[in-house]
Amino acid sequence: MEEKSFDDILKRLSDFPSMPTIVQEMFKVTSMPNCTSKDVARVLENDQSLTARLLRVANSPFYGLSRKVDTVDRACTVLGLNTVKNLALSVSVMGVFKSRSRAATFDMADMWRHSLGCAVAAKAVFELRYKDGDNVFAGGILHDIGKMVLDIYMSREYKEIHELYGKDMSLVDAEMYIIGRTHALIGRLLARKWKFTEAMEEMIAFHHRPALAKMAREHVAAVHIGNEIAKSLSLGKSNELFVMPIDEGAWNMFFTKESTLTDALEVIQDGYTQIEESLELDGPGENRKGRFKHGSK
Amino acid sequence: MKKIALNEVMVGMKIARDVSSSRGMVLVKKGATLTEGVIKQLERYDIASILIEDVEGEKGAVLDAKELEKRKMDQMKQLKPIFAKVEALPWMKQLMDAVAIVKAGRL
Repeated sequence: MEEKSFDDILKRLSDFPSMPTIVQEMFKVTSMPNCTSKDVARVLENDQSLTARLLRVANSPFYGLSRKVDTVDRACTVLGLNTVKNLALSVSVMGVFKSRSRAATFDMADMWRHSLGCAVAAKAVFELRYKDGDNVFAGGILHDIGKMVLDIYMSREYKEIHELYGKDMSLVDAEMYIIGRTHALIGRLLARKWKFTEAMEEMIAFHHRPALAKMAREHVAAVHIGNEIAKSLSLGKSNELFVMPIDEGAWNMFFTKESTLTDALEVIQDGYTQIEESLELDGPGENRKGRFKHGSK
Repeated sequence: MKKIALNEVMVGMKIARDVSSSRGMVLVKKGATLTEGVIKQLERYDIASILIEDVEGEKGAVLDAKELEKRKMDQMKQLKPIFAKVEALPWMKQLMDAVAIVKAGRL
């Protein structure tokens, strides 16, 4: 039964929407060596609603801009190409799942809030030691993408998983028991299909087992820690009820003194509050379906 | 309500009026409690002073140490069930303590 279900997922995954065109183009443009903010702006101009959402997030106090940006060109100049690229990736993927949500086993908006909490936490943790946590932020947003796929494409099985979970079985164990694969693996398959970077694929695949990462160990460790911090601070609501053990090796990469930890949590709690509103996740995801259908503003 | 220079404010003080940047963007809303993060944010925007609520006010501006400790204990109690599986690991206990401290300062 398990194998059959899994084949089923693979088959259904092939029906899964291809990566949003705009994101594909975005990747293409930004990987050109002499890419300018004008190039990025030209790509985004084709999607008014994405542009509007992106600018709203860029103007949230989280990014601490001293003046409002009202064009993509300006946003690129002020925030940097990498930040804008990762924001575009995050908002556009959220858009894909928002409109497809049937919310079989959990509330999509709650889940995105948890992902946002993880993203903010992962970025803050990463930046304790390294610069530019924007990739890690996007990794946090997308780390549970496999759950969204399962919720939409295998809602019956995912309900069974939820029934087992909580009766003293971890979510991942329940997933293994019912479908023989975890949401992390399903997420990885989608990441490959959508041609995400290798680092992104690892952040999604190994967010529960950071020691397995090869290419992007620090990125994966930060997302792994960010996930548990988001649950600890109750940022959003994961469908996982318990805080799981953080890998000791991952922890030691970032936290050596206790004082750093409390400061980091303050920054994370504030950052989450500052950015949450701008993503307009309030209210159950399903009711807001089609909200952005008619373009900008 | 009194005006306090930003370099003299303390974590736990309560903000009496919205604080806006020079361009008019609201940075912190009235009623929010000052945290390290908020103070850093205000520094970034070169805010010189802010209005905070008086200590005599019902909710008090600065938490005294005893009250803070009591709140931390309450928070620990609430965190216990979700940390049930990991509390035995020293670094997870550290995380739990830190979460309780942060939450206690924000009630």
